Amino acid sequence: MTSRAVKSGRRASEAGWVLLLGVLLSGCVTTTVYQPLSSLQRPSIVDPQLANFEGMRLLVRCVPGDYLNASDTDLLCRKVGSLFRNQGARVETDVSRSGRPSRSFQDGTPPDLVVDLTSRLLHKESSGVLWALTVISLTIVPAVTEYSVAQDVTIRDASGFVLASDSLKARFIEYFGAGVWGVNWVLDAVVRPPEEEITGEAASRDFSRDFYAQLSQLAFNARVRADVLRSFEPRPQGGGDPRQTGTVP
Amino acid sequence: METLLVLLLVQLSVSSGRPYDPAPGIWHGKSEARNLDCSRMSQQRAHELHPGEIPAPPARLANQESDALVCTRRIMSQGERPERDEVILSSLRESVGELAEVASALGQGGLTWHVDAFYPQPEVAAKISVAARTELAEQGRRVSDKVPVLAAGDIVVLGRMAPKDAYPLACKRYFAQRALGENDAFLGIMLIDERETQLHAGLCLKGEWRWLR
Repeated sequence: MTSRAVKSGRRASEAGWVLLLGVLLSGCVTTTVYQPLSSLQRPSIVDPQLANFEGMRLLVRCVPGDYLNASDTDLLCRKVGSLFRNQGARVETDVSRSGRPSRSFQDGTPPDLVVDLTSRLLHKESSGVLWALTVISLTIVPAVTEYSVAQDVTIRDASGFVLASDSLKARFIEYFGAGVWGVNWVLDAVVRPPEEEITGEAASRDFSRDFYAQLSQLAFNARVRADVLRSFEPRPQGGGDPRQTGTVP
Repeated sequence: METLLVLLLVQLSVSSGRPYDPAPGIWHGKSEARNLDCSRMSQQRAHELHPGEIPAPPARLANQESDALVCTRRIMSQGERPERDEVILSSLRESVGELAEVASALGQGGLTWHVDAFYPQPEVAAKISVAARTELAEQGRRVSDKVPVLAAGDIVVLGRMAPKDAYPLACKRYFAQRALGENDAFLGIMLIDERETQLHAGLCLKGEWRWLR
């Protein structure tokens, strides 16, 4: 074997290590697991595909906190706005950076419902020793970062009366390591049905599904409660009648 | 294949070294995790609630806040009963307690309380009624098991009306037909819309209906 061949073999080996490190340090080896805590695992009845808020005016106000910064809060607010717009509502969003959010639409009319969203980081835990072990073992031993978050939702009418409120809590566990990712990838491919899969975008997909379903349900409950408290008098502008159960005396 | 086996063995040894984790993973799936009701609290509080299972925080860590994740298995697994019934029944004590408290505050004096629930499933309606009667009785109210009944013709007419008109009219008819007297209070608990997961209530006093929530 010539010295040139040895040198090129060494270079290939080095390139392989660099490539392996690159893969390990990228998001490929991060497995995020989502666990719904209080409220998020509750069933919801309302179908977000239907026009549940036809003709209603909703103001969605999002307040940045210790978990979501201003740009993430803005993104959340826009997504929640789309959620209600898809259900027939006229929506305005407001990211409150000053802590003094607005109370009416830009055209001066009062909203039918005001949805306030605030995020909180409840708990975060990560072991430095485990991270050291992860690096030494080339991520075969996974590093674990666990955090729990709460999304506080309060829904009021235009006068500020609280119609519904809840704290939607979730727990996320991030495993960083090729080993845990590989095992779960194999289990996803071979054993688990699609709804039980863990790798890929499963965590964010499951959380979004639970969060938007609970938010829709909470807002719908608030809408009916507002109707009852108004003794079913019509709203100042628009709005359809609730679909009634027929269980009357 | 050998590499995969080594990876699996390492993962098993790492996960077995950690305390039991209710999150979905190698040992249990997402549906199993959804049948648990978990909340995060301080280790001290968790120890007070579950002294046999969660140790007291070590004295040397007295100044540091340590957390525990406390999970209880839900009485009914997901899918065992209809979704709306599950939501209503799993929070029945709190929701009916609030309704009974508001009603009780409005109906002062030596009234006899009658309760009925209007819910699509009769067996759930019965549970709601019993819960409300129990709550009122615990508040020291005189509670009757008797449910006021209307004539068949009234029921036919009321059945065709929307709830906003039907309940106030039913209240008037109860009073007119003497199914309810001057010293009777009727608490009606109902679902207004088939898409909601909350209960509403109204109070009938001397022929006047009042929506409570």
